[in-house]
Amino acid sequence: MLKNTRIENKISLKKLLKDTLKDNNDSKFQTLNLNNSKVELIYIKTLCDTTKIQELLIKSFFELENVDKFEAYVKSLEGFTVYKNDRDIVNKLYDGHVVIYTATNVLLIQVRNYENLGVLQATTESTIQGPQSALSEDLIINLNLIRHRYHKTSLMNESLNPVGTTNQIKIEILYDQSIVDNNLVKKVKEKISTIDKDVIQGVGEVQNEIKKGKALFPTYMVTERPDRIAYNLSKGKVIILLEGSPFALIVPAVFFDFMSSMEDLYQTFWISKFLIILRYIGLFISISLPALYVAITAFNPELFRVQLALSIAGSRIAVPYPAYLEVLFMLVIMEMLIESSIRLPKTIGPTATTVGGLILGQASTDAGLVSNIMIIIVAAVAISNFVIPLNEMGSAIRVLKYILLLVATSFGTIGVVVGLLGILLYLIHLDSFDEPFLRITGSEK
Amino acid sequence: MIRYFLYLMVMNMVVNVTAFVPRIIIDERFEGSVMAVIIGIPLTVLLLYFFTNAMLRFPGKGLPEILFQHTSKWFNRPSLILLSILFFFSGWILLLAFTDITRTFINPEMTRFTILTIFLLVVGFGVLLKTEKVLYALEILTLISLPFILVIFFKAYTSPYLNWDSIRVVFTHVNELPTLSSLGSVTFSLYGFYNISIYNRVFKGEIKKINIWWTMAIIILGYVNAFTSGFIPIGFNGTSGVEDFIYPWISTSDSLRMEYGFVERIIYITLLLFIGASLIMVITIWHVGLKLLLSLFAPSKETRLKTRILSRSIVTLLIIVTYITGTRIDARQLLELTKLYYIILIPISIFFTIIVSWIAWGKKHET
Repeated sequence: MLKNTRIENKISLKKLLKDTLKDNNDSKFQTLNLNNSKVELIYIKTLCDTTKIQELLIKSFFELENVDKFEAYVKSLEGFTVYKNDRDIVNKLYDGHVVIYTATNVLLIQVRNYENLGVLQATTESTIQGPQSALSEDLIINLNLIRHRYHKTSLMNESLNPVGTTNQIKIEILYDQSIVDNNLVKKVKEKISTIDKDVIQGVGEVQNEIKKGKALFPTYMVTERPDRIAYNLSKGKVIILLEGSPFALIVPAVFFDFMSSMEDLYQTFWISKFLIILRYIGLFISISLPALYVAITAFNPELFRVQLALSIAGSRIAVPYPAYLEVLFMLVIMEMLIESSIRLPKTIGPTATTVGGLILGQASTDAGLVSNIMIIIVAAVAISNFVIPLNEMGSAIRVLKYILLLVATSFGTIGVVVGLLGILLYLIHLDSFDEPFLRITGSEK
Repeated sequence: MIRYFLYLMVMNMVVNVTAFVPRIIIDERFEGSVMAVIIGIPLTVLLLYFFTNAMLRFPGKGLPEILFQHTSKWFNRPSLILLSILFFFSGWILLLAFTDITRTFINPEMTRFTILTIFLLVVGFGVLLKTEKVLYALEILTLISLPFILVIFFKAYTSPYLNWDSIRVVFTHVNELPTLSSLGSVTFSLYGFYNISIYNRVFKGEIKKINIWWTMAIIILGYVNAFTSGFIPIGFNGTSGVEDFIYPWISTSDSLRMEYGFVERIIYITLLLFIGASLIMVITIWHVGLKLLLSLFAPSKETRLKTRILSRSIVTLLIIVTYITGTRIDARQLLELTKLYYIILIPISIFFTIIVSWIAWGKKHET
């Protein structure tokens, strides 16, 4: 009786598979016949490693000459999974599994073939002397990279339900069980399970979906460096990995994480301290220099010593409009330059920056549209923005300077001070998974 | 966590350097403010010693919890209302003083209303932060501004224009009995410790006790601070010339020069630093007031939404009141009001110190 229902099930399942797959050009139904034993293979050609199927399954089937032996053999292979239900089988098929029908049984085995397997070079967070490899776009390889940097038995890897209701992307979390706060892990899982979006392609989307609000500042860290991941694992953080994305999400993250580069660990003490100080100066310059320029030239020129005030005023003589327009004009042009040099093909990129940066800058001062000092300020802002090691924080700062510029334009120097205080308070108000985003940690004494 | 306690003390001292404390000390320099400094500081530190140690006996509890537990309803409700009004008032004074300073020294063409708008926007946001986050903000601001403020003080002490003889002249009036307002203003600059009425909630018993060494350090700090705020302007502006300034310290810092800096006049550094520092202090103080008031309405934590609405409406009310009063009052009236406030504060602070110490003493002998 039991056997009967199973066989019925099997037949209905096969029909289901045939129905769903029949229009697919790359689906493959293969029947292997030997003597009187018969085995059917169903798989999707483009997702599976066909040479592996040939080696592992077809060849051995003809060598073993017996269905029972073959079944036992398949069950012992790496990548074998048990049949759960019909829905599961369809999903598995699209995940590079081969469905094997024997007379009595349904077997599933993964023979996945994933192009794009190479380990990438770290490009968005490059270091000089640190490890040079970045994550790849494949989960297995990423796990391999991370586990090779973190040899500890307590490193746990959990696979969660796929995200993206339409494209069903696999998502995994990693944590060091001996250090991590269990509530954090629970909360991360909970948040990920609430993700409700059709298509998810990158960790940035996962971050936005978890946060569910309109945020300016990143409160989770996006990284491509396995060494950063290993370092953060050892600090008790949770890593979220997404299939097909060479970036990982680290939660929780605090402000100071975004200002640190992995290079800091690889340099000598004073060099890394110097670099950190440099970064904070860069941060300050890129947030406040345009705002200070407007506030001081338009509201309180007496703040500077006379010579400096005069030379600024002197260079502004030819400029026919107020300081804030001048700043806004140049900043917008600069943003255009940055954006275009990111999007342009690598071969034309340098041309754009040369034309934009050098010629436009020179010509606009000659034409008396902006002052010389303004060009210096814009250049300083642009350069110092890139000192911030993580791209997301850099972009947030890029936006932030306009807010401060607005406050400075309407309230002057006092606006800059109060605006900076406001930004500080806003950063302090943020939380990243219950971890205060900005605070000075010290010994809790 | 003792650092947070120190930040509360130090920032309160520093902020009062520029607000009305030096003005009152200088006003009464011939009528006993020297004596007020000499005896006022040890007396305040005595209050500090008793109040702080009494509070620290209740780890993780604020003043409202202690009062609710140990005193009866007819006493604790009115006294919490009174205290919260006092805290609001002291923040209000600071805010209006700095609005006035901003208008006088930085943007004379800007209306009070505009300046108050931008100040209140930030303060309103800051007050509504969580209690521990207010402390984080205070810490960051202290660490940023304190080094600069110390540089300014250092510049002042080493300036060739500082005439010690004028200060000596004032010190010949040491045998005058102190007036209440000068005593009040000297003690007020050390009142930072009363903020732990609420911030003790987040200290969570990590500080056990303010011991005698800390007390001594605070006394010395208090003397240095009072001397700097009250008498350095006298040294710069002359024994009698100093009375022409409403904000003596800010005018004094305009006689300082940074010869090699690109901002030559130190007054701007002073102003910008002190405005940042005072705003964070207003946030810190108003937060205490807010939490004291909230404790009356929602002693339990289950009604979080209600608390949120309530605290927002209190802050809105506060902002409206500040707008209305702040645009009508002038610096002279504010000064008189401040004097009165400082005098009233003396008996009240002594009274509450005794109450809290008495409760703590009772608790110690119960167990």
